[in-house]
Amino acid sequence: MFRVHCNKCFRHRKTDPAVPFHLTQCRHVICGPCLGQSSLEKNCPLCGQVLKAIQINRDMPTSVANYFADPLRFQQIYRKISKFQADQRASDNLGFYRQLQQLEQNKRQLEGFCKMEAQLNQKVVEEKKRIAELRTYIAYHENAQRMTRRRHSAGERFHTPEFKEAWNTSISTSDKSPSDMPSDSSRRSADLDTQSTRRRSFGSDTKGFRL
Amino acid sequence: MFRIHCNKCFRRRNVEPTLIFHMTQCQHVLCASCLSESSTDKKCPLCKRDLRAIPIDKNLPPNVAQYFEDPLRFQQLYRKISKFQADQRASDNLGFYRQMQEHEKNESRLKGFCKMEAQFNQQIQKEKERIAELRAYIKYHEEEGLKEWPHATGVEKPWSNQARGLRPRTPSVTTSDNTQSDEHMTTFCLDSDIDCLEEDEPRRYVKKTFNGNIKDFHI
Repeated sequence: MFRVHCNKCFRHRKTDPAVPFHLTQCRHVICGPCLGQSSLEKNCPLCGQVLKAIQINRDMPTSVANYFADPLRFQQIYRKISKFQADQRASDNLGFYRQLQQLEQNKRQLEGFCKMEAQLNQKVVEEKKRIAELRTYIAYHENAQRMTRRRHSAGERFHTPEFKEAWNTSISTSDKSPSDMPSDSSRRSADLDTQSTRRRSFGSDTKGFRL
Repeated sequence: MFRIHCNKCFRRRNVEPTLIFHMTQCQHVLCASCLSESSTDKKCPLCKRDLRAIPIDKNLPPNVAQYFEDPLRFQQLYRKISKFQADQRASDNLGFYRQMQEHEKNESRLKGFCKMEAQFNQQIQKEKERIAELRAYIKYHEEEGLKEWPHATGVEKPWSNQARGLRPRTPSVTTSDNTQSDEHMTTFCLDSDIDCLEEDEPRRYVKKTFNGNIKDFHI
């Protein structure tokens, strides 16, 4: 703090309490009489700048009253605000760092998941190949069964002794029910043809079923 | 400036503008969800102090709103005020210095005036002494004049002759005065016996007084 005094005539406010003091825009303190002398030329008597003065009393605005307060108060406010904002910036940096850490962790997890996915994809591909092989195997065997039935029906059409030979081969290859016993009459052959057609339709059904 | 974010869950205001952020008394920023989580135990989740929070919006009081301003404004204000007060203190010191200078000047002038006064006093004393001497001289001469004149009235003829003889001798030197006294003795003896006796007595008186006066005059 300082003693309020006129910067021109060095009069003190304490010694002359009745004299009004003014603060100029160029930050000089001038008493009433000196201001009265200077108001004619409208310039500050100390620095010669344009004179704009405000009276020093309790009705001063805050921005002017601050000049008569302890400046350490503003220094402390500056320190508090600086500390607060520095803490907030540090917290923001900490958040960013944690975010980066989590990102790296997520990246590592993602890599793990990618590897697992690759392995699973490989297994899936192998399973698909196996399934394809099994399907071809099944198709081959079904085709073989169809070929044997077609040869049986062809024998009946052309010649009886050929039919007998075919019948022998069929007996050796697979066992059949007694309803399938051969007969010499044409009627019986016609019945066999109908039976063979039924077998053919059943054969196609089995293929569809198995597929 | 810094980015407003929740110090607990690091959620940012610019990313989620609808979320309300609060400023606690222990200078931490918390979002509404973290605040609601902490409102059960009434403690700050970061520093475990008593939780008192105020929402960060345009209705913020000035002493809290300044925490979100640029602190350099207060630094500059502190510098301005410090400079102003330092200038005022320097001006006050300058005024005191000038006052001291004027005081010394006045003191030296006072010494000069005292010396002059002493000299004047000495001169005054000398003049007084001179005046006293002159007054004594004047008294002596007035007394002599008075003594001579009644003698002249007493004796007519010889006093008139003596007076005529004394007049041209008075403008002469003091030694001539002594000679006058001698002449007086001779003339008295010549006149008469009775008159001689009477004249001898005043002669002695005249001699004594005159001698004393002469001594004083010389002194």
